[in-house]
Amino acid sequence: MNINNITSQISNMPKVGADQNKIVGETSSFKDVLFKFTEDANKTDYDDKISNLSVLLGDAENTHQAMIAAEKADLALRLTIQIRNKIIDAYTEVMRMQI
Amino acid sequence: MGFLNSMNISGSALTAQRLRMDVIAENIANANTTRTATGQPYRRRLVLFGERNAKLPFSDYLSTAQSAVGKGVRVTQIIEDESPMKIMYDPSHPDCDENGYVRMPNVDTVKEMIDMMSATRSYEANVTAINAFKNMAMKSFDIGK
Repeated sequence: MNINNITSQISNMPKVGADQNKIVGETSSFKDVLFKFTEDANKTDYDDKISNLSVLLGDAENTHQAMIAAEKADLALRLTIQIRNKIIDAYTEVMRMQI
Repeated sequence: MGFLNSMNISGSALTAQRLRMDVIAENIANANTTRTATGQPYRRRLVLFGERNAKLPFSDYLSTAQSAVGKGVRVTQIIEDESPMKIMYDPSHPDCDENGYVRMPNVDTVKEMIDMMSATRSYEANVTAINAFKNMAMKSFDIGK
């Protein structure tokens, strides 16, 4: 399960709000940030699916491993949703700005 | 993410307790086995637990040195109980000696039952720990709400 990308995203996140002029390279647009998070959520969701499938097929060594994988995927997804909400909030806030 | 690694610690304990349960079940199943592949009665088996340390590349040692937390538990060894076999008088038994005594396995079903309860409770405790981890992680998502 590759969660490292999320972690690196989180370390980048406060910088977006803290210093508007110094936005870190790749996460320069709302779209990119949002896209990356969705990608990561998809990955963890995928792991979850694989793990559950192997249980159904009788391949899993331990049922708890499948459950833990499912919980991990759940947590990662929830974190992604939270960050998504934050980004959407920030976006709508910017769009509402009077020119 | 830290919380996901924390779950692995408890996960390793769940795996270890499951293996311990297997060994206990084996002991109970063979409580009356008087002949094994070696020709001896079955010997009770015990599980030895050890701390599971992270196998790190050299370059990662310094960065992980601050967190002295290990990677959970693992079964280091399955040993045989060296206590003497139980002697039972049964001249009709095919494995008895010339005096009619049979060497029975040194499995005490009561002990195994207690071990089984201990394994079950440990498993439950670790599941509780996982749930606690999860609740903590969920709480962190409430920050800023």
